[in-house]
Amino acid sequence: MESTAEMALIKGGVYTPLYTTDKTPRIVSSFLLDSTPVTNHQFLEFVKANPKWQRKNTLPLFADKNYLKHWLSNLELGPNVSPDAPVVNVSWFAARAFASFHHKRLPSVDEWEYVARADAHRIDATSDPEFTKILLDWYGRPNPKHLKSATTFPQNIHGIQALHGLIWEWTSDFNNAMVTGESRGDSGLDRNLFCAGGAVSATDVTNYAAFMRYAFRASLKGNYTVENLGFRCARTIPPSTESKKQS
Amino acid sequence: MKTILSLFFLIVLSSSGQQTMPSTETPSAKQKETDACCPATTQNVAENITAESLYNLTSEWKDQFNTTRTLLSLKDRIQVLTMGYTTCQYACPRLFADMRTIEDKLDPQIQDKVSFVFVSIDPARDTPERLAQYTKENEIEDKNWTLLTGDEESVQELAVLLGIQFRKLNETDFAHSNLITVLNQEGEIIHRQPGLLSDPTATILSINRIVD
Repeated sequence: MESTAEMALIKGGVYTPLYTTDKTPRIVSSFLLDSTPVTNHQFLEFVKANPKWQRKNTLPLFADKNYLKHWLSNLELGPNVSPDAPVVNVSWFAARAFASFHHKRLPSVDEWEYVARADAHRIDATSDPEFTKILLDWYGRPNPKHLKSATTFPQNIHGIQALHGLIWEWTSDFNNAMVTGESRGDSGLDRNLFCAGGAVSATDVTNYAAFMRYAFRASLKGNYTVENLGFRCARTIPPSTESKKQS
Repeated sequence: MKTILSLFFLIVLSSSGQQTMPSTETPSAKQKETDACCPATTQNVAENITAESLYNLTSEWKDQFNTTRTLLSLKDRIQVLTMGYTTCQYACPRLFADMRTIEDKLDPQIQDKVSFVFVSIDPARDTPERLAQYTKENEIEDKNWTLLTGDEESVQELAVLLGIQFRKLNETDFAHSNLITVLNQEGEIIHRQPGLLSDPTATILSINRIVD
Protein backbone atom coordinates (compact mmCIF):
# COMPACT_ATOMS: atom_id res chain seq x y z
CA MET A 1 0.00 0.00 0.00
CA GLU A 2 1.30 3.42 -0.93
CA SER A 3 1.70 6.16 1.65
CA THR A 4 -0.08 8.60 -0.61
CA ALA A 5 -2.37 8.30 -3.62
CA GLU A 6 -1.50 8.36 -7.31
CA MET A 7 -2.18 11.75 -8.81
CA ALA A 8 -3.96 12.52 -12.05
CA LEU A 9 -3.35 15.56 -14.19
CA ILE A 10 -6.39 17.80 -14.31
CA LYS A 11 -6.26 19.87 -17.45
CA GLY A 12 -7.26 23.41 -16.58
CA GLY A 13 -10.17 25.21 -18.09
CA VAL A 14 -12.89 27.72 -17.61
CA TYR A 15 -15.56 27.24 -15.03
CA THR A 16 -18.39 29.36 -13.68
CA PRO A 17 -18.67 28.89 -9.96
CA LEU A 18 -22.08 28.30 -8.53
CA TYR A 19 -22.13 31.07 -5.98
CA THR A 20 -21.28 34.37 -7.51
CA THR A 21 -23.48 37.03 -9.00
CA ASP A 22 -20.91 38.18 -11.47
CA LYS A 23 -21.09 35.35 -13.93
CA THR A 24 -17.54 35.87 -15.02
CA PRO A 25 -16.11 32.42 -15.62
CA ARG A 26 -12.98 31.66 -13.66
CA ILE A 27 -9.91 30.04 -15.01
CA VAL A 28 -8.79 26.93 -13.17
CA SER A 29 -5.15 26.23 -13.97
CA SER A 30 -3.98 22.70 -14.63
CA PHE A 31 -3.11 20.89 -11.43
CA LEU A 32 -2.55 17.42 -10.01
CA LEU A 33 -5.21 15.74 -7.91
CA ASP A 34 -5.13 12.48 -5.96
CA SER A 35 -7.20 9.96 -7.89
CA THR A 36 -8.63 8.62 -4.62
CA PRO A 37 -9.24 10.09 -1.15
CA VAL A 38 -6.66 9.54 1.57
CA THR A 39 -7.18 6.14 3.22
CA ASN A 40 -7.11 5.04 6.85
CA HIS A 41 -3.86 3.25 6.16
CA GLN A 42 -2.22 6.33 4.68
CA PHE A 43 -3.40 8.51 7.52
CA LEU A 44 -2.17 5.99 10.08
CA GLU A 45 1.30 6.10 8.51
CA PHE A 46 1.14 9.89 8.75
CA VAL A 47 0.23 9.97 12.45
CA LYS A 48 2.96 7.44 13.20
CA ALA A 49 5.46 9.83 11.67
CA ASN A 50 3.84 12.90 13.25
CA PRO A 51 2.92 12.11 16.85
CA LYS A 52 1.31 15.46 17.44
CA TRP A 53 -1.46 14.39 15.05
CA GLN A 54 -2.20 11.26 17.07
CA ARG A 55 -5.56 11.34 18.75
CA LYS A 56 -4.18 11.71 22.26
CA ASN A 57 -1.98 14.66 21.34
CA THR A 58 -4.16 16.94 19.26
CA LEU A 59 -5.38 20.25 20.59
CA PRO A 60 -9.15 20.89 20.54
CA LEU A 61 -8.38 24.06 18.62
CA PHE A 62 -7.20 21.94 15.69
CA ALA A 63 -9.35 18.80 15.97
CA ASP A 64 -12.50 18.24 18.01
CA LYS A 65 -12.99 15.30 20.33
CA ASN A 66 -14.36 13.01 17.62
CA TYR A 67 -11.09 13.16 15.71
CA LEU A 68 -10.34 9.64 14.36
CA LYS A 69 -12.94 8.25 16.74
CA HIS A 70 -13.64 5.30 14.44
CA TRP A 71 -10.14 3.95 15.04
CA LEU A 72 -9.60 1.45 17.83
CA SER A 73 -6.81 3.45 19.44
CA ASN A 74 -4.14 6.03 18.69
CA LEU A 75 -2.20 3.75 16.40
CA GLU A 76 -4.61 0.91 15.65
CA LEU A 77 -7.44 0.88 13.16
CA GLY A 78 -9.10 -2.15 14.75
CA PRO A 79 -11.04 -4.96 13.08
CA ASN A 80 -13.98 -2.82 11.95
CA VAL A 81 -12.05 -0.26 9.97
CA SER A 82 -10.79 -1.08 6.50
CA PRO A 83 -7.28 0.26 5.82
CA ASP A 84 -8.35 0.89 2.22
CA ALA A 85 -11.44 2.89 3.09
CA PRO A 86 -11.14 6.68 3.05
CA VAL A 87 -10.17 8.22 6.36
CA VAL A 88 -12.94 10.31 7.92
CA ASN A 89 -13.32 12.13 11.25
CA VAL A 90 -10.38 14.33 10.32
CA SER A 91 -10.31 18.08 10.78
CA TRP A 92 -9.27 20.64 8.17
CA PHE A 93 -6.09 21.30 10.16
CA ALA A 94 -5.22 17.60 10.22
CA ALA A 95 -5.98 17.19 6.51
CA ARG A 96 -3.81 20.17 5.73
CA ALA A 97 -0.97 18.80 7.85
CA PHE A 98 -1.13 15.45 6.01
CA ALA A 99 -1.00 17.22 2.66
CA SER A 100 1.90 19.40 3.74
CA PHE A 101 3.80 16.33 5.00
CA HIS A 102 3.52 14.83 1.52
CA HIS A 103 4.44 18.11 -0.17
CA LYS A 104 0.91 18.43 -1.39
CA ARG A 105 -1.94 20.74 -0.47
CA LEU A 106 -5.71 20.60 -0.28
CA PRO A 107 -7.59 21.44 -3.49
CA SER A 108 -9.46 24.74 -3.53
CA VAL A 109 -13.24 24.83 -3.78
CA ASP A 110 -12.92 25.96 -7.40
CA GLU A 111 -10.56 23.12 -8.26
CA TRP A 112 -12.72 20.54 -6.53
CA GLU A 113 -15.95 21.77 -8.09
CA TYR A 114 -14.31 22.03 -11.50
CA VAL A 115 -13.46 18.32 -11.41
CA ALA A 116 -16.73 17.36 -9.70
CA ARG A 117 -18.75 18.40 -12.76
CA ALA A 118 -17.38 15.47 -14.72
CA ASP A 119 -18.75 12.02 -15.30
CA ALA A 120 -17.03 9.20 -17.16
CA HIS A 121 -17.44 10.83 -20.56
CA ARG A 122 -18.02 14.54 -20.08
CA ILE A 123 -15.99 17.29 -18.47
CA ASP A 124 -19.24 18.98 -17.50
CA ALA A 125 -22.21 16.72 -16.93
CA THR A 126 -24.10 19.07 -14.62
CA SER A 127 -26.70 20.04 -17.22
CA ASP A 128 -27.80 16.40 -17.38
CA PRO A 129 -30.67 15.91 -14.88
CA GLU A 130 -29.72 12.25 -14.54
CA PHE A 131 -26.24 13.20 -13.28
CA THR A 132 -27.66 15.55 -10.65
CA LYS A 133 -30.27 13.00 -9.63
CA ILE A 134 -27.66 10.35 -8.92
CA LEU A 135 -25.83 12.78 -6.63
CA LEU A 136 -28.98 13.79 -4.81
CA ASP A 137 -29.93 10.16 -4.31
CA TRP A 138 -26.61 9.68 -2.60
CA TYR A 139 -27.03 12.80 -0.45
CA GLY A 140 -30.39 11.49 0.70
CA ARG A 141 -29.07 8.11 1.83
CA PRO A 142 -27.82 7.56 5.37
CA ASN A 143 -24.12 6.95 5.88
CA PRO A 144 -23.18 3.31 5.43
CA LYS A 145 -21.68 1.58 8.44
CA HIS A 146 -18.60 0.54 6.56
CA LEU A 147 -17.12 2.73 3.87
CA LYS A 148 -15.95 1.05 0.69
CA SER A 149 -12.60 1.58 -0.91
CA ALA A 150 -12.61 4.40 -3.46
CA THR A 151 -10.84 2.13 -5.91
CA THR A 152 -14.14 0.28 -6.45
CA PHE A 153 -15.63 3.45 -7.98
CA PRO A 154 -15.58 4.25 -11.70
CA GLN A 155 -13.11 6.84 -12.95
CA ASN A 156 -14.41 10.12 -14.25
CA ILE A 157 -13.02 11.56 -17.47
CA HIS A 158 -10.05 13.01 -15.54
CA GLY A 159 -9.17 9.64 -14.03
CA ILE A 160 -10.52 10.66 -10.62
CA GLN A 161 -12.49 8.21 -8.48
CA ALA A 162 -15.20 8.66 -5.87
CA LEU A 163 -15.53 12.43 -5.77
CA HIS A 164 -19.22 11.64 -5.36
CA GLY A 165 -20.97 8.78 -3.66
CA LEU A 166 -18.52 7.88 -0.91
CA ILE A 167 -17.60 10.77 1.40
CA TRP A 168 -17.56 14.57 1.52
CA GLU A 169 -14.17 16.18 1.17
CA TRP A 170 -12.33 19.12 2.71
CA THR A 171 -11.11 21.95 0.51
CA SER A 172 -8.40 24.47 1.32
CA ASP A 173 -10.75 27.46 1.27
CA PHE A 174 -13.95 25.80 2.54
CA ASN A 175 -14.55 28.92 4.63
CA ASN A 176 -14.75 31.16 1.57
CA ALA A 177 -18.14 30.14 0.30
CA MET A 178 -19.99 33.11 1.81
CA VAL A 179 -23.13 31.06 2.02
CA THR A 180 -24.81 31.31 5.36
CA GLY A 181 -26.52 27.98 4.91
CA GLU A 182 -29.87 29.20 6.14
CA SER A 183 -31.70 30.18 3.01
CA ARG A 184 -31.76 28.53 -0.32
CA GLY A 185 -31.12 31.57 -2.48
CA ASP A 186 -29.09 33.20 0.26
CA SER A 187 -30.85 36.50 -0.28
CA GLY A 188 -31.09 36.84 3.47
CA LEU A 189 -27.36 37.32 3.85
CA ASP A 190 -26.79 40.25 6.17
CA ARG A 191 -24.69 42.54 4.05
CA ASN A 192 -23.25 44.27 7.05
CA LEU A 193 -21.61 41.03 8.06
CA PHE A 194 -19.67 40.90 4.85
CA CYS A 195 -17.68 43.45 2.95
CA ALA A 196 -18.94 43.13 -0.65
CA GLY A 197 -21.22 40.36 0.57
CA GLY A 198 -23.73 41.16 -2.14
CA ALA A 199 -21.28 40.02 -4.76
CA VAL A 200 -21.41 36.46 -3.61
CA SER A 201 -24.60 34.48 -3.92
CA ALA A 202 -26.12 31.77 -5.99
CA THR A 203 -26.26 31.93 -9.77
CA ASP A 204 -27.72 28.50 -10.36
CA VAL A 205 -30.00 27.14 -7.72
CA THR A 206 -31.13 24.40 -10.06
CA ASN A 207 -27.88 22.65 -9.32
CA TYR A 208 -29.14 21.60 -5.95
CA ALA A 209 -26.44 19.02 -5.41
CA ALA A 210 -23.73 21.62 -5.73
CA PHE A 211 -25.72 23.97 -3.52
CA MET A 212 -25.73 21.35 -0.79
CA ARG A 213 -21.97 21.04 -0.99
CA TYR A 214 -21.57 24.79 -0.60
CA ALA A 215 -24.01 24.85 2.28
CA PHE A 216 -22.23 21.94 3.94
CA ARG A 217 -18.86 23.68 3.66
CA ALA A 218 -20.34 26.82 5.14
CA SER A 219 -21.50 24.84 8.15
CA LEU A 220 -18.01 23.60 8.96
CA LYS A 221 -15.26 24.93 11.16
CA GLY A 222 -11.60 24.07 10.86
CA ASN A 223 -11.51 21.77 13.89
CA TYR A 224 -14.72 19.89 13.08
CA THR A 225 -14.57 16.20 12.40
CA VAL A 226 -17.50 14.49 10.71
CA GLU A 227 -18.02 10.80 10.14
CA ASN A 228 -18.47 11.15 6.39
CA LEU A 229 -15.94 13.90 5.76
CA GLY A 230 -12.45 13.07 4.51
CA PHE A 231 -10.13 14.61 1.95
CA ARG A 232 -7.79 14.13 -0.96
CA CYS A 233 -4.73 16.16 -1.86
CA ALA A 234 -3.75 18.33 -4.79
CA ARG A 235 -0.50 19.76 -6.06
CA THR A 236 0.30 22.84 -8.06
CA ILE A 237 2.21 22.20 -11.26
CA PRO A 238 5.25 24.45 -11.53
CA PRO A 239 4.79 26.56 -14.71
CA SER A 240 7.81 25.03 -16.46
CA THR A 241 6.63 21.44 -16.05
CA GLU A 242 2.97 21.84 -16.93
CA SER A 243 3.23 19.51 -19.87
CA LYS A 244 4.52 16.59 -17.80
CA LYS A 245 2.04 14.28 -16.22
CA GLN A 246 3.76 13.31 -12.99
CA SER A 247 5.47 15.41 -10.38
CA MET B 1 -35.83 18.85 -1.35
CA LYS B 2 -36.29 21.03 1.68
CA THR B 3 -36.72 17.97 3.84
CA ILE B 4 -33.51 16.47 2.61
CA LEU B 5 -31.69 19.66 3.37
CA SER B 6 -33.02 20.11 6.87
CA LEU B 7 -32.33 16.50 7.63
CA PHE B 8 -28.90 16.95 6.26
CA PHE B 9 -28.06 19.88 8.48
CA LEU B 10 -29.35 17.98 11.43
CA ILE B 11 -26.87 15.24 10.66
CA VAL B 12 -24.05 17.72 10.32
CA LEU B 13 -24.99 19.40 13.55
CA SER B 14 -25.30 16.23 15.53
CA SER B 15 -22.01 14.85 14.37
CA SER B 16 -19.90 17.96 14.51
CA GLY B 17 -21.62 20.57 16.56
CA GLN B 18 -20.40 19.56 19.98
CA GLN B 19 -17.81 21.85 21.37
CA THR B 20 -14.73 20.19 22.63
CA MET B 21 -13.34 20.24 26.08
CA PRO B 22 -9.81 21.41 26.62
CA SER B 23 -7.47 18.47 26.61
CA THR B 24 -5.60 17.69 29.76
CA GLU B 25 -2.86 15.94 27.91
CA THR B 26 0.07 17.90 26.68
CA PRO B 27 2.44 16.69 24.02
CA SER B 28 5.98 16.11 25.11
CA ALA B 29 8.94 18.10 23.93
CA LYS B 30 10.28 15.04 22.20
CA GLN B 31 7.29 14.95 19.89
CA LYS B 32 7.95 18.46 18.83
CA GLU B 33 11.35 17.48 17.53
CA THR B 34 9.90 14.78 15.36
CA ASP B 35 7.62 17.15 13.52
CA ALA B 36 8.85 17.25 10.01
CA CYS B 37 5.88 18.97 8.57
CA CYS B 38 3.31 21.59 8.98
CA PRO B 39 5.14 24.76 9.91
CA ALA B 40 2.08 26.72 10.86
CA THR B 41 0.03 24.40 13.01
CA THR B 42 2.49 23.52 15.69
CA GLN B 43 2.03 23.42 19.41
CA ASN B 44 4.22 25.65 21.45
CA VAL B 45 5.02 23.13 24.11
CA ALA B 46 7.66 25.19 25.85
CA GLU B 47 5.71 28.42 26.02
CA ASN B 48 2.97 27.24 28.34
CA ILE B 49 0.19 28.15 26.02
CA THR B 50 -3.34 27.10 26.84
CA ALA B 51 -5.08 24.54 24.64
CA GLU B 52 -7.61 27.08 23.33
CA SER B 53 -5.09 29.82 22.63
CA LEU B 54 -4.70 31.15 19.10
CA TYR B 55 -1.04 31.53 19.99
CA ASN B 56 -0.65 27.81 19.31
CA LEU B 57 -0.27 28.95 15.72
CA THR B 58 3.38 29.43 14.91
CA SER B 59 2.97 31.21 11.59
CA GLU B 60 5.32 34.14 11.01
CA TRP B 61 4.11 37.62 10.21
CA LYS B 62 5.59 41.04 9.45
CA ASP B 63 4.29 44.09 11.22
CA GLN B 64 4.20 47.72 10.08
CA PHE B 65 7.78 48.16 11.31
CA ASN B 66 8.88 45.27 9.09
CA THR B 67 9.61 43.19 12.20
CA THR B 68 9.09 39.45 11.89
CA ARG B 69 6.92 38.13 14.68
CA THR B 70 4.62 35.28 15.66
CA LEU B 71 1.18 35.73 17.18
CA LEU B 72 2.72 34.72 20.49
CA SER B 73 4.24 38.21 20.64
CA LEU B 74 0.70 39.47 21.27
CA LYS B 75 0.46 37.48 24.52
CA ASP B 76 -0.12 39.07 27.94
CA ARG B 77 -2.22 41.93 26.64
CA ILE B 78 -5.86 41.91 25.68
CA GLN B 79 -6.08 42.09 21.90
CA VAL B 80 -8.92 43.46 19.82
CA LEU B 81 -8.41 41.95 16.40
CA THR B 82 -9.89 42.22 12.94
CA MET B 83 -9.02 41.12 9.42
CA GLY B 84 -9.37 43.18 6.25
CA TYR B 85 -7.24 44.89 3.61
CA THR B 86 -5.98 48.43 3.51
CA THR B 87 -7.08 49.32 -0.01
CA CYS B 88 -10.68 48.33 0.72
CA GLN B 89 -13.04 51.13 -0.20
CA TYR B 90 -16.24 49.88 1.31
CA ALA B 91 -16.36 48.22 4.68
CA CYS B 92 -12.84 48.24 6.03
CA PRO B 93 -12.73 51.96 6.81
CA ARG B 94 -15.95 51.46 8.77
CA LEU B 95 -14.57 48.34 10.40
CA PHE B 96 -11.53 50.34 11.35
CA ALA B 97 -13.77 53.06 12.71
CA ASP B 98 -15.52 50.43 14.84
CA MET B 99 -12.12 49.45 16.27
CA ARG B 100 -11.42 53.11 17.05
CA THR B 101 -14.80 53.41 18.74
CA ILE B 102 -13.91 50.53 21.03
CA GLU B 103 -10.54 52.15 21.76
CA ASP B 104 -12.19 55.48 22.56
CA LYS B 105 -14.81 53.96 24.82
CA LEU B 106 -12.38 51.99 26.94
CA ASP B 107 -11.92 53.13 30.47
CA PRO B 108 -8.67 55.19 30.46
CA GLN B 109 -7.32 53.04 33.30
CA ILE B 110 -7.40 49.90 31.20
CA GLN B 111 -6.35 51.36 27.88
CA ASP B 112 -2.75 50.39 28.51
CA LYS B 113 -3.78 46.75 28.91
CA VAL B 114 -5.50 46.56 25.54
CA SER B 115 -3.99 46.50 22.06
CA PHE B 116 -5.47 46.50 18.60
CA VAL B 117 -4.53 44.20 15.75
CA PHE B 118 -5.34 44.47 12.06
CA VAL B 119 -4.42 41.40 10.01
CA SER B 120 -4.32 41.79 6.24
CA ILE B 121 -6.02 39.27 3.94
CA ASP B 122 -4.17 40.80 0.99
CA PRO B 123 -0.50 39.84 1.43
CA ALA B 124 0.33 40.74 -2.16
CA ARG B 125 -0.40 44.43 -1.72
CA ASP B 126 -0.36 44.98 2.03
CA THR B 127 3.40 45.06 2.46
CA PRO B 128 4.89 46.26 5.76
CA GLU B 129 5.53 49.61 4.03
CA ARG B 130 1.91 49.86 3.00
CA LEU B 131 0.82 48.98 6.54
CA ALA B 132 3.07 51.72 7.94
CA GLN B 133 1.54 54.19 5.51
CA TYR B 134 -1.91 53.06 6.58
CA THR B 135 -1.16 53.77 10.24
CA LYS B 136 -0.17 57.30 9.22
CA GLU B 137 -3.29 57.82 7.12
CA ASN B 138 -5.42 56.69 10.03
CA GLU B 139 -3.36 58.41 12.73
CA ILE B 140 -2.82 55.24 14.70
CA GLU B 141 0.94 55.30 14.84
CA ASP B 142 0.96 54.71 18.57
CA LYS B 143 2.17 51.46 20.06
CA ASN B 144 -1.29 50.07 20.78
CA TRP B 145 -1.79 49.10 17.16
CA THR B 146 -0.21 46.16 15.40
CA LEU B 147 -0.78 45.65 11.69
CA LEU B 148 0.25 42.24 10.38
CA THR B 149 0.80 40.73 6.98
CA GLY B 150 1.70 37.09 6.31
CA ASP B 151 1.64 34.48 3.58
CA GLU B 152 -1.63 33.19 2.16
CA GLU B 153 -1.49 29.92 4.11
CA SER B 154 -1.08 31.73 7.42
CA VAL B 155 -3.87 34.15 6.61
CA GLN B 156 -6.18 31.28 5.66
CA GLU B 157 -5.36 29.39 8.85
CA LEU B 158 -5.99 32.36 11.12
CA ALA B 159 -9.22 33.19 9.28
CA VAL B 160 -10.44 29.63 9.81
CA LEU B 161 -9.70 29.80 13.54
CA LEU B 162 -11.46 33.14 13.86
CA GLY B 163 -14.39 32.05 11.70
CA ILE B 164 -13.74 34.76 9.13
CA GLN B 165 -14.73 34.08 5.54
CA PHE B 166 -13.04 35.85 2.71
CA ARG B 167 -12.79 35.44 -1.01
CA LYS B 168 -10.81 37.27 -3.63
CA LEU B 169 -13.24 38.84 -6.10
CA ASN B 170 -10.78 40.28 -8.60
CA GLU B 171 -7.31 41.78 -8.70
CA THR B 172 -8.13 44.53 -6.24
CA ASP B 173 -11.05 43.46 -4.10
CA PHE B 174 -12.06 40.86 -1.57
CA ALA B 175 -15.35 39.93 -0.02
CA HIS B 176 -14.83 39.22 3.67
CA SER B 177 -16.61 38.90 6.99
CA ASN B 178 -16.72 42.00 9.13
CA LEU B 179 -15.80 40.65 12.50
CA ILE B 180 -13.99 42.04 15.50
CA THR B 181 -12.63 39.43 17.92
CA VAL B 182 -11.44 40.00 21.48
CA LEU B 183 -8.62 37.78 22.74
CA ASN B 184 -7.73 37.56 26.41
CA GLN B 185 -4.15 37.74 27.68
CA GLU B 186 -3.71 34.03 26.89
CA GLY B 187 -4.86 34.44 23.30
CA GLU B 188 -8.23 32.76 23.80
CA ILE B 189 -11.29 34.12 22.04
CA ILE B 190 -13.58 35.69 24.61
CA HIS B 191 -15.88 37.81 22.48
CA ARG B 192 -16.95 38.40 18.89
CA GLN B 193 -18.52 41.56 17.50
CA PRO B 194 -19.96 40.83 14.07
CA GLY B 195 -21.14 43.37 11.54
CA LEU B 196 -20.49 47.01 10.90
CA LEU B 197 -21.43 49.91 13.16
CA SER B 198 -22.40 47.43 15.84
CA ASP B 199 -23.04 48.58 19.37
CA PRO B 200 -19.68 48.07 21.11
CA THR B 201 -21.17 47.89 24.60
CA ALA B 202 -20.94 44.10 24.89
CA THR B 203 -17.39 44.19 23.56
CA ILE B 204 -16.33 46.81 26.12
CA LEU B 205 -17.99 44.78 28.86
CA SER B 206 -16.15 41.63 27.79
CA ILE B 207 -12.88 43.51 28.08
CA ASN B 208 -13.73 45.05 31.46
CA ARG B 209 -14.67 41.63 32.77
CA ILE B 210 -11.24 40.12 32.14
CA VAL B 211 -9.31 43.12 33.41
CA ASP B 212 -10.92 42.86 36.84
